[in-house]
Amino acid sequence: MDPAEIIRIKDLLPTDLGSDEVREQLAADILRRSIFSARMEDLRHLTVIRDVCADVVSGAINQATARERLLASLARMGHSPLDEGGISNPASIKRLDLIIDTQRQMAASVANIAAETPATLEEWPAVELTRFVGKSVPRADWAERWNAAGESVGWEGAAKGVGGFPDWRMVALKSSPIWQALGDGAGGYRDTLGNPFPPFAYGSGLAWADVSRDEAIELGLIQPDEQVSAPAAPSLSPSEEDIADAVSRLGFDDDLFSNLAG
Amino acid sequence: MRLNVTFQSNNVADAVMGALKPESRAEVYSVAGRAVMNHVQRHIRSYMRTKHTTAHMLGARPTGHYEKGAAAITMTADQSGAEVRIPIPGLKRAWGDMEIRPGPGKDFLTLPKAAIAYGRKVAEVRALGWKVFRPAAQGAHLTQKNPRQYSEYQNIYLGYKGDEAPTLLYTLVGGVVQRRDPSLLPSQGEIAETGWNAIWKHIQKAVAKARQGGLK
Repeated sequence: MDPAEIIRIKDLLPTDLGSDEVREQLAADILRRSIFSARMEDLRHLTVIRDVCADVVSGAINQATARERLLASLARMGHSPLDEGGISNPASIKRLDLIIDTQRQMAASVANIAAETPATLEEWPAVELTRFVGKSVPRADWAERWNAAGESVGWEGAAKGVGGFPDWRMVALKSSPIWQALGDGAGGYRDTLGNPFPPFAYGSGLAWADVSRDEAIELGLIQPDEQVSAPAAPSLSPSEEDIADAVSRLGFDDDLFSNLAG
Repeated sequence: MRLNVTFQSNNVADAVMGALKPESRAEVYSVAGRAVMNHVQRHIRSYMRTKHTTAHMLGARPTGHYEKGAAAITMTADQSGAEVRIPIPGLKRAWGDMEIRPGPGKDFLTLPKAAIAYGRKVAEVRALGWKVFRPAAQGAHLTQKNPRQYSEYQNIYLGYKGDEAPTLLYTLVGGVVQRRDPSLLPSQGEIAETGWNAIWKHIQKAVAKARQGGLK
């Protein structure tokens, strides 16, 4: 799924609600499928946001051009970055960056989840939530958030953080409920987006990096497959079954596979 | 930037891939695409730790251009192959010189020379309350016949805010050629090898798994 397409098919959601009210009164799945901005009722501007964000995620424009287009749209409505109100000013640079960054990361996360197949899940069954983007004042409470989310789901499919800051690692299976708990703000955090994928909090510079099967085994998240599996025969994904069928039909034997270099 | 993942191959893999159902072939390509995506992501993350020279020189905060793009890399796969999408404008210069020209209706590119200008367009700097202007060139008053002729102005933007003295914000150029920087991305050979290794490993694993379990 194309991340730009993910943004283009989003509904426009004009609202006079502030960010706290949006979070309290609108379901996460509605927000996930919508383009909205707190206290922004102008449909034309929401359309500009959608177009600009789609261009950013497709790599057609950079963040400076994106902000320039958003500022031009807001200027037509009489808004300026010099207006008071900090982040609640729709034209504040911080808010424009927040909108662009959030939409870009959400679209990428959704696209990558949609692109998972049984085979990719087999190779990379887990992800690590790790810092990609440096911040002048990074949140210092990720370890606490991780612990609260982990405790709330009994650490199902999740590794307790290992090491100390800044090498604290947050790794869990892609199927672990810890991701939804983290997105829901387990532990009482109010700056989350309600999604089981990054970004897990507004303005967060953390995103997912795939973790290989070997490392997931090393971290105790899964058991090694064939060697330690129960007597039951290992199951095959549809494509694995098809590969095995093809190899069988073609008459390739074990020696051929072991003799050919990868 | 879109990378079409191309592969080396061997006769066995070709024969196996050719014998697969389209949906199975797409799944195998998804492994290759994901492997390349992860490899490119790791590469860019490691690259960016050594960069930000211009930002540091100007005393500006890095824009996060590469970092944000690396976090948003995606991939898709179908029965004909895999594609990795990297939302970082300008990344093509990893594989060759890149000429950048002014956009439609513009005569110049702006090169930032001050922290406030770094990662910002002139319109944004103006919106932030700066007065931005092009000073007249020395002797410009002698050539008033063509008042709009660019040569009458210095190719710079100065700016000031409030009562501050004007300072250099941008130099203006008709275009730039960004020299090739192969360290931006893994080489095409490395990308092909990563994709191929993933495919071959996946095929071998499926065969081993099937034979071990007596399934085929």
